[in-house]
Amino acid sequence: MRIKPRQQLLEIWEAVAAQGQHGRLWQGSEGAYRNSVSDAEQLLCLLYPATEVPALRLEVPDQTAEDVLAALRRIGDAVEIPRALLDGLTGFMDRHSVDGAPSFSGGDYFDPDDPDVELTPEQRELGVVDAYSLSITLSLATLGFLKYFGPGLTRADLKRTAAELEAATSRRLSAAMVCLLRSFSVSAFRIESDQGRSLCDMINRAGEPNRTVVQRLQRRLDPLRATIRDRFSLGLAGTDDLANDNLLFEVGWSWGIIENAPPIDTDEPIGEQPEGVAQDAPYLYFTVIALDGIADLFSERTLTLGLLNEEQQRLAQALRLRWELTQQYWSALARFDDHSWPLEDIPWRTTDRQESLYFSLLVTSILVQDLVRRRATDDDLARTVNVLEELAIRSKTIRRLVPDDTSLRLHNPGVQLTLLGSERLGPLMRWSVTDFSAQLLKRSVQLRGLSRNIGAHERLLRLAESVMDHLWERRIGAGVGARLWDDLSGVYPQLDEPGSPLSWSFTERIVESLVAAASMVRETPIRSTRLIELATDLLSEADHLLDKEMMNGSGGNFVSVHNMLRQAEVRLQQARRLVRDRPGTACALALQVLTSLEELAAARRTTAWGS
Amino acid sequence: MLIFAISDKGGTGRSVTSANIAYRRALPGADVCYLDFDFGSPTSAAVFDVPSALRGTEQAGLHSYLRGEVAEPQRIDIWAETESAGLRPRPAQAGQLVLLPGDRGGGEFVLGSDTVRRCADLFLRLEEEFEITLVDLSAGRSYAAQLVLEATALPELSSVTARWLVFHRWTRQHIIAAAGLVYGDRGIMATGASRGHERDRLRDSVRFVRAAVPSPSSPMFAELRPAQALWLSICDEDLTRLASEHKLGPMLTLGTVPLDPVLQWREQLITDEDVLSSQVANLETAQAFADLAAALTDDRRWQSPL
Repeated sequence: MRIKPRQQLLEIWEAVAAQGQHGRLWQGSEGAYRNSVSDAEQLLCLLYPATEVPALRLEVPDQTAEDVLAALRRIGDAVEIPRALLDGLTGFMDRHSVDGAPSFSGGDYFDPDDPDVELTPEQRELGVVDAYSLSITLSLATLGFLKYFGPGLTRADLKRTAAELEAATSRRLSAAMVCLLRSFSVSAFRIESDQGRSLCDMINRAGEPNRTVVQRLQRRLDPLRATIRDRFSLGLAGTDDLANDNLLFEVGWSWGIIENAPPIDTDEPIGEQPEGVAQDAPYLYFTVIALDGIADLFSERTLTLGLLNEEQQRLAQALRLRWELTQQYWSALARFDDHSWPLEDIPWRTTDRQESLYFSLLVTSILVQDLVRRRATDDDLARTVNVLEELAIRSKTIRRLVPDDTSLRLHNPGVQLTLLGSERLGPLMRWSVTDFSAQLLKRSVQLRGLSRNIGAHERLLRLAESVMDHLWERRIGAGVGARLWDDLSGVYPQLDEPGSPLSWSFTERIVESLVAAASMVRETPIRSTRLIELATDLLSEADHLLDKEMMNGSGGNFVSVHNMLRQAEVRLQQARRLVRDRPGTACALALQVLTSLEELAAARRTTAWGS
Repeated sequence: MLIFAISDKGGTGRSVTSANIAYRRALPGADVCYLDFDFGSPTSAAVFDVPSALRGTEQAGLHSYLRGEVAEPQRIDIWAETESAGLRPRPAQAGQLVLLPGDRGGGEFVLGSDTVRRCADLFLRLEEEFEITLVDLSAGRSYAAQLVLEATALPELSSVTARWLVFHRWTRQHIIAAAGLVYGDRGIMATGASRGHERDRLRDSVRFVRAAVPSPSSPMFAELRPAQALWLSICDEDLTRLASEHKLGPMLTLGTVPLDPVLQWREQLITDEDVLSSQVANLETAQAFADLAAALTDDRRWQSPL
């Protein structure tokens, strides 16, 4: 299936707008517990494209595009749509704050690890990294939306609502940043511990002596270790362990605020900073989620619109340091041995000895970000594409699922992450992740945006299209959530319990992928040096033949000949202008000129034969 | 209710559109009068096809009244005096449709407090008798516009609803000119404020009408080559953006009258017969007039939406 971001985003928007009929649009989570993650995802399905894709903007009613209005007609007209968003966002900020301080509850996204027990209400209210990260994205989108929508307001009541929303959003943004800083973990462990051995096994693919591997790893991580020791203080309990060279370490994000994480000194009005309970060890999944959200803090849009205040910029700087360091750390592990990357040894195994294709995908996600930053070589890129392709095949995303397929578990019930530390407040909690295929699409599209190599570009395009085929089949057929996600029975008819409930998290991932695809469309096509050469040669021949024809004083006074030559001249001029950016088009123009000149030449030959 | 029709430039279809709005409003039963305040060239009788007042009336027109030469301006009952066969006889259920013509060769005149007084008196009298009093002002910043801004600022008219229709064509120059007429120096807003009108209230009583707009979906453009069609739609998007930037986007636009061949060649009322029987005019055009006529009193369309 061809990826057409505008059309497909509008199709999703139409389905989202139809949810209003079921009384579910932006009304907050259905269950008994507040779920700030799902609520944020639901809003982002509309707000994210509207603020990231210029063609789909909604905040200036007089300029809303016709097809956008048609897709969202169920919400209202050009004026009612942004007002509904304003109300929805205000409702969200109200619902997810306690005594004026933002809250980030995971609600019914938390499951008990033992299905027979019930989580405590206190546990349901716990914050989670998904919520912090999404809140950053949602807050920045909201602030950007208000930047344009606010000045157009004249009515006093709406002006007040917008100003209040802006204040609440800015508070939420600061709070989310503080929570992310406090969820960051540097976990040190002894080389001979379980974790240490597991890490060495993972990266030691050549079967070298363990001591050599550890030495090489230590050397490679030394600069990171120094940075953490010298520059990290915000929100971390202590980094003294890192001084000990006998310890290895992992960096990244835990699932929530870490136990004993000190509060962060800030003047932002975010209320009391909650105590943490999460275990001080990074989870790959939450690390990737955090990295995604943090990236939005220093996007071009955030900078040009000036969305952060001074204190927020300080917090963002601290997060950025962690963001870069984490990427470097995981990228170093993933590519530890140049001859044979640990990442290529699918599936990835975590230090607590869990294996899953999903972990491989997560490490790839981090690697992709790092590749962008380092302007990776074509070779690194090609190897990463190989990994993505293999993940797509092994996960059966681009292959048919057969009855009793073991890879089904990856999609349903998904990867289960035990949230260690949660048992301090009740039964042990669990987090399920089912969005493998949507993540795969997102990463393929992202990586494609980075690659300026035509071969890799093509492969990623084909891959993304095949993944899209699979995802489109997984849309819910009818009823609540129709044409949204996720219903596996479309690709696996043997499913025991068809008709899955609407998953905003899955839907939001696909929206994000399409937005990434849309931003890529705006770039110029990749330059092919071969085509540039070809076009230059074609132009040279066409030029020469045209000169010849003009020299012959072709056509006497006949207008048609004159026009043909004039048109040829204009086309060649245009082709020369395009030759660097669009050599293919330049070739086509040159060929048109050559064809018409050949018509004249043929006529000339015929007369010679007749005389 | 007072409706003032104004435009910055000539040729915007102001007179022909407002005459059609008056006609469409009268058809289902409202009493409507139409005042030709285009003192430079009072020609609206032509649209109604009233031969006796083609270029203004001989005597007792609006000029004479405002100058104090007559106590009452002349009234023409359109249903009775029009020569247009399509308009006669008065359709069943239709309300009054009355034209108050200007004087032939009346020209502009000097504004004085007496003039404002007489103008206000006239509006008050008409307000009692008619549901809609539609005043066709001349193009550009005129004495007529100043006159009605002063008259409506008088305390005795404070309870009378007054609304402004600003006509412009769908071109770059017209959009910029219309914005200038409302928001610019000596524009309606500035003049109104200096005459004592409350700014917010005045702003909420101004709406734009786009006239002679080529619609891409119209059959007239079905034969365009792809490149022409693309060019046209890009220009249309540019105009949409321009209009929005000049604060005359869809939110403040009361209606859009499509380009119609009949109106291109002859300024006239478009009757149901023209649309349904002879079919010389387009149905969309008649519908646009009817929509505008209804929108005049639709209060939701006259509230600030944001």
